[in-house]
Amino acid sequence: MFISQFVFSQTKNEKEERITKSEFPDAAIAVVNNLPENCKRLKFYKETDGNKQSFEVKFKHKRKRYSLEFSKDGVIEDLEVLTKFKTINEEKKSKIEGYFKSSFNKYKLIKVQKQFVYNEELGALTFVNDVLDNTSTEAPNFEIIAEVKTNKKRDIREFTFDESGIFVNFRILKPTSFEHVLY
Amino acid sequence: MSYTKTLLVLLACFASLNLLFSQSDFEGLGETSFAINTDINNNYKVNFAIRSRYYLYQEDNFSFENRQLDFVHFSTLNLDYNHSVSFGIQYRIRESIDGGSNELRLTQQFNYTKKNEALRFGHRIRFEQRILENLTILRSRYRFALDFPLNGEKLDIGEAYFVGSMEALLSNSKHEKPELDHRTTTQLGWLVSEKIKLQFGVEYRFEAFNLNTEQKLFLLTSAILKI
Repeated sequence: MFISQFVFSQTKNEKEERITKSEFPDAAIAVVNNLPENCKRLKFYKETDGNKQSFEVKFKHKRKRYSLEFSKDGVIEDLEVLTKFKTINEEKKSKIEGYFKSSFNKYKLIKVQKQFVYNEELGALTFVNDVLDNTSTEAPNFEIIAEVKTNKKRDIREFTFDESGIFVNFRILKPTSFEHVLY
Repeated sequence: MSYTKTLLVLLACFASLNLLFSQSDFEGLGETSFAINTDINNNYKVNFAIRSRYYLYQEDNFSFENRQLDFVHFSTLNLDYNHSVSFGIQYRIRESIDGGSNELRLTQQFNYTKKNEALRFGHRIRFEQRILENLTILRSRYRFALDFPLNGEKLDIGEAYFVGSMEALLSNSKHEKPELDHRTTTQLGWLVSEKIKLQFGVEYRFEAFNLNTEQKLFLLTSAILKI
């Protein structure tokens, strides 16, 4: 009984919402204001998960989709860029493929992102600009959302692979409550 | 998006409805449904629904008159996260309500969805065998649908969503000419809790537009329970 209530209240506290730039933490606004001019279609989001809060700005830059994540205090956490799996370096790609093939009966990639983890030494501006200009010296992790099948069970998971393509961890994503109105 | 905006959209729908009331080949109906969805396992889910349809406006007059009652069952097999196949069976009671023919309907369906950030597109193909008392109609239909949450990219509890769709239908039967229909639907939904969704909307139908067009406006209300 107690457990079920706990689970319920957890789902209730999870929320992602679109907000305005002015609702962003001040430190994050400063970073956003300094983004290159050709960053287009900026959209601001706030995510709440229990007591944890985070902020995210999504934008397009030179036809690529980025998402920059901030902590509650406006410190950058990471910068992710949407990529196609086939464009990943051959060696890393085959390692990742090898992991999927050996771990699951069936798999289907849904979304692939390169994840650049924030390096404080660089400072916000240099970090973001290096990634946007493709001159970053840090190799990115890979964040991959995939549908996988083990025995009879099927679920959607978010996997993290490190900069050389080695599996780090995964978490199971909740099937979205947003189901198509089929009937 | 704020609720006032949502309200304005609904008001606009009702305002346009008033304009249409001047046409005489026009009927206004309402449809209310209650559905229960259950996941049996990862791959298989079932749906049961009761649906009632009633006249609100006919022959240039407002009047309430029951038309039919449907009992619906669908079984859906998920091929993967965005492809599914469904089989449906429906019984429609009409004879004892408005004198029309009762109907047994069998449905085969294929559904495909594609998500692009917040937007989700759905393509649905259906084949139906409508078995009426003196007639069997074979109907093929294709529906294109679009849905998105009104706030952010993910639908959270307490949030509203929009569903819009267009559907083309072709009916064939032995002794009658093929009939073409077109339906446009817009609905606003609300995810009240993890288990309950409420939906309100309007559907505009052009029926038999290749023969003798009849226009119908439906006011849709539904409650969907997930257990």
